[in-house]
Amino acid sequence: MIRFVVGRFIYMILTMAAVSMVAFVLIQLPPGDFADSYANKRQQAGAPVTVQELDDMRHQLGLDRPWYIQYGTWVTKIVTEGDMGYSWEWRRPVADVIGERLPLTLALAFSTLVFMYVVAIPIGIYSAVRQYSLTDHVFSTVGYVGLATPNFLLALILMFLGQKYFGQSVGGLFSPEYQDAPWSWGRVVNLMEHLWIPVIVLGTSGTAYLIRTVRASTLDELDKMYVMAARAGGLSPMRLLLKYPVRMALNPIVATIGWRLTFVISGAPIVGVVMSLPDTGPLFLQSLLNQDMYLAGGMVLIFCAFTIIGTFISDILLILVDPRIRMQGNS
Amino acid sequence: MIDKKMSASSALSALALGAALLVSTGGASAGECPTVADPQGITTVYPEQLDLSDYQRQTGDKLVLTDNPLFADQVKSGALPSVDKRVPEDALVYLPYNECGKYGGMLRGLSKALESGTSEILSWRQVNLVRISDDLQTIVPNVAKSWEWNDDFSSITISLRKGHKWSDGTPFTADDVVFYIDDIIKNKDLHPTVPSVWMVGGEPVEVTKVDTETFRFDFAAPYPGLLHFLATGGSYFAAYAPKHHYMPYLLKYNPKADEEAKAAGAEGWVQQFGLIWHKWKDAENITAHALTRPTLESHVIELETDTQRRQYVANPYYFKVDSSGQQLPYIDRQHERFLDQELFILSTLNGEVDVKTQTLSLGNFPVIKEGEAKGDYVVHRPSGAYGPYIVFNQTIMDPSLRAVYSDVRFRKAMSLAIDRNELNEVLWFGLGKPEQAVPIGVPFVTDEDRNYLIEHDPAAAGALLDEMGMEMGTDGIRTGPDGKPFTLLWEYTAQHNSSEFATLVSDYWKKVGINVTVKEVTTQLMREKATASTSDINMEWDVPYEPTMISQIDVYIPPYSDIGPLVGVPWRDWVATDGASGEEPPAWAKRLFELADVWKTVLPGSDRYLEIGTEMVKINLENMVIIGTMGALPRPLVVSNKLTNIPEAWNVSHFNYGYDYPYRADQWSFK
Repeated sequence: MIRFVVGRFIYMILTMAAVSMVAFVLIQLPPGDFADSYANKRQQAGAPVTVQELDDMRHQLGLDRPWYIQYGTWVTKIVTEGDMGYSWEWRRPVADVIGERLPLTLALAFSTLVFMYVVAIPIGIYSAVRQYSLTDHVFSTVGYVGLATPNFLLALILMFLGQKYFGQSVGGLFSPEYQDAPWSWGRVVNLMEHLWIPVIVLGTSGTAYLIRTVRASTLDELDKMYVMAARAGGLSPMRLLLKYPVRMALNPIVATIGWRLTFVISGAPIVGVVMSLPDTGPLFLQSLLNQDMYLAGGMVLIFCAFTIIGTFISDILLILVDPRIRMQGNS
Repeated sequence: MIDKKMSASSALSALALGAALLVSTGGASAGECPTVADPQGITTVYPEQLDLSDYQRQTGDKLVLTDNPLFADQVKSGALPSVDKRVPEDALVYLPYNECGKYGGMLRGLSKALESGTSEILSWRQVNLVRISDDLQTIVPNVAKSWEWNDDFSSITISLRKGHKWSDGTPFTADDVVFYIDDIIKNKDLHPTVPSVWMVGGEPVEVTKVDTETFRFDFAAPYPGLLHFLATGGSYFAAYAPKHHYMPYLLKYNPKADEEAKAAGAEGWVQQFGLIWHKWKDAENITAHALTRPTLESHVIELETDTQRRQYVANPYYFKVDSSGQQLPYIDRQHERFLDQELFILSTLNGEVDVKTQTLSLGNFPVIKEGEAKGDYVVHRPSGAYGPYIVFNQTIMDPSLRAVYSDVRFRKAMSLAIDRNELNEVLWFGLGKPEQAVPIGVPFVTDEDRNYLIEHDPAAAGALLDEMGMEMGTDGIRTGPDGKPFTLLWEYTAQHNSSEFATLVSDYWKKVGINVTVKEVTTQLMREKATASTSDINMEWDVPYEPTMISQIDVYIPPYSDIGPLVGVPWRDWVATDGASGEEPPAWAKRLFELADVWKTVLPGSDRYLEIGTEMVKINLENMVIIGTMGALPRPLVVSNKLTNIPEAWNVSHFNYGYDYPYRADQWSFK
C-alpha cells in the first residue's frame, strides 16, 4: 500500500510539471498578449490607446521577453516561494485573486456534490428495483431532459423566474446589501436564497447521469447469482439490497469522485458567467480572454491539481471499497 | 469658446478675497439656495458655477459652510478639521440643477469588471483642471481657478485655489503639477517617449512653478486645444499627482526605492511604480495601495477592490460647495457592482442600479422601457451613437486590389449601393438616421455633407463601376479593371461590426456585381493586418466630436487611428520621415496632413478654424475615405427616480465627453 501511494505520488508531481508547461504554452498561443487585449477594452470604452503606451506596458510587464524565460521565472517562484505571480488584470497577486473566490467555489461545489448524490443515488436504486414502473419512466424522462438541457439555458430560465416571481436580485451569491456584510443569520439566508439556482443548474446534468449509472449498475448486480443465493438464504430485501448490489453499484461513482469535483469547479464556467457567480469559473474565462497569463496559468494549475489529487483519492477509495480490486504488482 | 483672459469678475473676486471670507460650521442659513432652475438673481461667468468670493460679493452675504453629518464624529474627535478649514479659501460654488440636496445614500452602479469598457462610474467622481459644461461647448474652471493664455497660445498660466487640499489633508499646490510633468510624464524610465498630448511642435511641454498656487505650461508651438483635451478626451487623466505620496517610490527622491520595490515583490522601482500609478485613473484604483493614495476626486476608495465590487466614500476635503454652503458631494458612497453584461438588464429591471449610462444596448430598449415603473427609473435616450463605418484600404499591398480601392469611383459606388433605410429598419428599429460619417457638433458640417451619396442608387453605382472597366460577367459578377476575376475579402471583428450588418451590406454589393466574401476575425488579427496594410476593409474608428477634433485632429487624417489604422499607414510614414520611407500620399492626403499641422495652432471658433474644418470635411467626404451608414442612434440610459439634480435632457453619453461628467455627479442627491 505504501509503495503504491509513493509511486502514485511521484507520478502526480511529474504530471503537474508537464501540465504546467503545456498550460503556459497554450495560454501563450493565441495571437496578441495582455497589452493587446487591454488596448482592446480601452478602445471599446472609446478611450484612445497609442502604440507607444502599449510598448511601455509590454516592457513594464516583461512581455517582451521570450516565453521560456517567462515560464522559468513563473515556475521557479511557485516552487521556491509559493508565489503564483501577478494578475495584471486585477493588479494583485494571483494567489489573492484566486483565494478570494476559492472558499465560495468549494462551498458551491460541495453543495452541488451533496445535492447530486443525495438525489441521484436513491432515485437510481429505486428505479432499478422498480424497473419499467411508471415512476421509473418518469424519473428516466426527467433525467434525460436534465441531461439534455444546456446548463446556461436552465440558469437563464431559473434566474428569470426568480427575478419575475420572487423579485430576487440577480447575479452573484449575495444581494448587494449583503455583499460586504459580516456573517449573520440574514447573510446565510441570503446565500441560501441565491445558492439553490446554481446548485440545481450545476447539479442537474450530473444528477441525471448519476441516476442512469446507479440504475444500470444496480440492475446488473440484481440478477447476479450471489443475490439470488442471499435472497434464498432469507436476508431481508432492504438489507440485501443495500449490503450487496448497491455497494457494488457504487464502484463507478467512487471511481469518478476525483474528476466530478473538478467538473463542478472548473467545468461550470458558463453557468458562473451567466449568473455572475463569485466562483472561479468567470474569473478563469476572463483571464483567458484578457490573456492575463499568470492568473490563467495559476487556475489551470489548480484545476489540474484538483483532478490529479481527486483521481488519487478515487484510487485509494476504490481499493478500500472493493476488495476485488488489487493493487498493481501486488497480486 | 476659450476664455483667453481671466474673466473680469474673477479678477475682481481675487481682490475681494480675504475680506469676504468668514465661514464657520453649524447653523446654516438654509433658506436661500440659488439653483440652475431658479438662480435668484445670481449671475455667473461660466454656466452654473462661480467662485465663493464672487458669490459672496453678489449676495453681500457671508455664506455659512456646513458639513456632511458623515464627518461629524471625526470633526468632533479632532481627526478632521472643521469644514471651513477643509475646503479651499475660494471654493467652487455650484448652483445645483434643482435644489440644494440632502446628505447621504449610496449611489449604485454596474459594470462587467474593471476597465471592461462598461463602467461610467469613473466619471462620477473624477476631476481635472478644467471641465466641459453640460452645454457640451464651454470649458469651465474646475480644480483650476482660472487661466490665461499668452498671445499666440504657446504658453498658459493656470491658477489653483488657495488652500486646496488632497483627500489626506496635505496641501495641493503647483508642485504637484510640476511633479506630474517633470517626474512622471517626462521621466524616461517610465515613459521612454513623452505622451503625444504633452509633445507639441516636436518638443515636450515645459512646466514652471510661478508661486504656490500658480504654474505655467510652455509649448514649442501654439497649442490652443490643450484645455479641450483636458476637459474631454483627457478628462480621465488628471494633470497632477500627489508628490508627497509618490516621492518615496521614485529612485530620484529615494535612493532605496529599487531595494524597497524588490522587497515588495516587484522587479524594480519602475515596475512597482507602474503598478501603483497610472494616468488612466481607473487602473490605479484596483490595488490595495489605492486605499492610501490621496486624490482630489469627490469620492475616495473605501474598501479594497475585489473581483466583485468596489466602493468609494465622500472625500472630506472636496473643493466644491453648493449655493447654500453645504460641502459637496451630497451622496456618501458610490458602489460599483461587477456583473455579467447579460445580467445588466435583469438587474436594471429589479431596480438594483441607480444610474447606468454605458453599455445598455439599443436592442434592449423596449424591455427596459417597459420596466420603468417596476424598477422605479426613467429611461433617457440621448442620440449620437453612430452605426458602423466602412473604409477601403487604399494602401493595400496587393496591386490589383489597390488599383480598385484607390479609385474614388469605386468607393462612391459602394456607398451608393448600400440601402441605408433598410439597414435602419432591420438593425436599429428605424431609430437611426442615414448619414455619412462626418464630425459631430461642429459648426462647419452641413446637411448637404451629412447626406452626401447616402441615397440607395444601384444603377448609379453600376454606372461608376462600368466606367472603371469592371465588367459584369454573365453570372452577374464583375471582373477587376484588369479583366481578371475580382474578389473582395471583408474581414471584420465583432467589436466593430455585427455579422448581420456585414451580411446585409455584402448582399447590397453583390447586387451590383461585387463578389464579396465575409469572414469574422479577432480584433488583434484585424489590427495586425491593418497596420501591415494587408486588409481590404477597416472599420475601427469613432467619428470625432468637436472636442476631439480640436484636441486630437489625428483622428481625422490618415491613418485615422494609431492602433487600428484605417488607411494610409505608408503615407504617414512618408510624411514622418520626409520621404525617406513609406509611400508618397496622393494629393488629397497630403493636403490633409498640411491642414492638420495648421489646425493644431488655430484658435477654436475662429474664422481660420471654420475654414480649415470645412476643407477637411470636404476632402474626406469627396474622396469617400470613410463610408458612413447611420447617425443619431439612441443610446438608452437608465436613471433612478430616487435621484434629484439630474439633468432634464440627458443629451450625451459618450467617452468624448467623459460619459456622465458634464452632468456634475457631485451634485446629484437622493430625494
